[in-house]
Amino acid sequence: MKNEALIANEGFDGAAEKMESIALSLYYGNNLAIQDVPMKVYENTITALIGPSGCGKSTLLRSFNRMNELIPGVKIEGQVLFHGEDLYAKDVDPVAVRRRIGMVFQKPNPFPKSIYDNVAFGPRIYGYQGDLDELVEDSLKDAAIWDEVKDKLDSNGLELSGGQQQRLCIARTIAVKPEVILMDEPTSALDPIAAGKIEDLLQELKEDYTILIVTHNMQQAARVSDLTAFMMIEEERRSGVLVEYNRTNELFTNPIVQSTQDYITGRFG
Amino acid sequence: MTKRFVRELERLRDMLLEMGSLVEEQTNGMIQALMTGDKDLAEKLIKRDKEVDELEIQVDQLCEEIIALSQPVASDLRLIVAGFKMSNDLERMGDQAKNIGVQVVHMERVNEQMLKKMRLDVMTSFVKDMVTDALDSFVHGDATQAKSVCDMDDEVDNINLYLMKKFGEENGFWLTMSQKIHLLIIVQNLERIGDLATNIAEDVIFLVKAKVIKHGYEEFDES
Repeated sequence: MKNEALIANEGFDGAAEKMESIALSLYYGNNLAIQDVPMKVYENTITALIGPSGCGKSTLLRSFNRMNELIPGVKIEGQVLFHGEDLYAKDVDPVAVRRRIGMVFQKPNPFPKSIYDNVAFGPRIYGYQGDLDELVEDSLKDAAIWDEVKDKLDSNGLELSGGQQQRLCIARTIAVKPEVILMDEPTSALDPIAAGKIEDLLQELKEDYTILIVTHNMQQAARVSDLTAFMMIEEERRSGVLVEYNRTNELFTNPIVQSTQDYITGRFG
Repeated sequence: MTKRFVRELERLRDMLLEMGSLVEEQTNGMIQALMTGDKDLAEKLIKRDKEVDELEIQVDQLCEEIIALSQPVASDLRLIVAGFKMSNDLERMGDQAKNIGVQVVHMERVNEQMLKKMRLDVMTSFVKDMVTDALDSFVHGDATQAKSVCDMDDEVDNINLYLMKKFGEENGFWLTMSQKIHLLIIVQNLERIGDLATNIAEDVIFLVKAKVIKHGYEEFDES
């Protein structure tokens, strides 16, 4: 049955479909975490996932690059398509998936290595044959941190401030030239100034990448994203469902579903 | 949603209602003063316009504060946006009522029979209903009632046009030139009160249905 509140699944300004989950369910052991999620992700678009704690936002996000498989006892039903191909097909290498669909985590997690080596790490593993210096510089520039670190590329990445570390992690992610960047609350550990820089950066990155971001900060979702997906816990099976998926300006001014209205206006959640 | 935010939204509603009741009283009182030629009543009501002005400033300050401190969205945000506009419209309605009062004070009395012949009783009755219904529709969140206010505005406009034409005639209603000028100003102000009641009704539709119907921008949908 077609869900009238998932308007963004019908298309978004002619943007190409990059990824799609089809009736995606995920179990941690016997616990159903997300249930039958149908969701399309569009190229060069920022899509925000919002919803109360435990509604399955991060689980859904991590399903988009097979990160959940690293957790024992996980069972997945349904499909996640990337360019129309099933990510979970038997012959697909999860490492290759994660290269094309990168991830930035909540807490900045640079390696205890130099700034340069942090960015060069991925390309080296994948046997990058081009000019590595140029790639590192370009990645740091794209992550809007080059000017702050260009004179200290040999310094340890852990010596940077939290906001700089997060941008270094974004540089590390984009150094392997992914097509999609998944972000799990990338600014929740940062102060508002550092978070603002990441938000500005997202707008530049979407020119080249497709971005899916989980955030607890609704104002941030409203500020940065083109589309917003609202998830909540369905009472009967206590699992996460996709409730409403629409243009961000529509969802935050005139939501279709009452529970979306209640959540964004702070009446529950 | 914090308790403080809930309280602030309730306070905004209460203040808009207080302002609305005051403007309704002013409008109805001025109409009574006009129909009965009661200059004392008109003078008394003119002085009360300040109360409406003060409330406008308080409503605007509260709306600004809620936006700055609570970042409302969806229906809460629409209440703030409508609140800003309604306070402005109500303040203007108070001014228009005051203008009517000033004319009543200075006008040589026109007897009620003549005013009825001019259909001013019909026009004022429509205007009173429009103001009352616009405010009621806000209280009850009733978009259908709000839409009926918009529809009534056509009647008021028609009477306004009829009277403009009549006042232009040499012997129209057998009034003196001075009376005609005062009445013309009164009729214009009544017509404006009708327009402003329509604005408020459109704000109520925006608030309840998230639809912008002014200037024919979106269709009104009963459902």
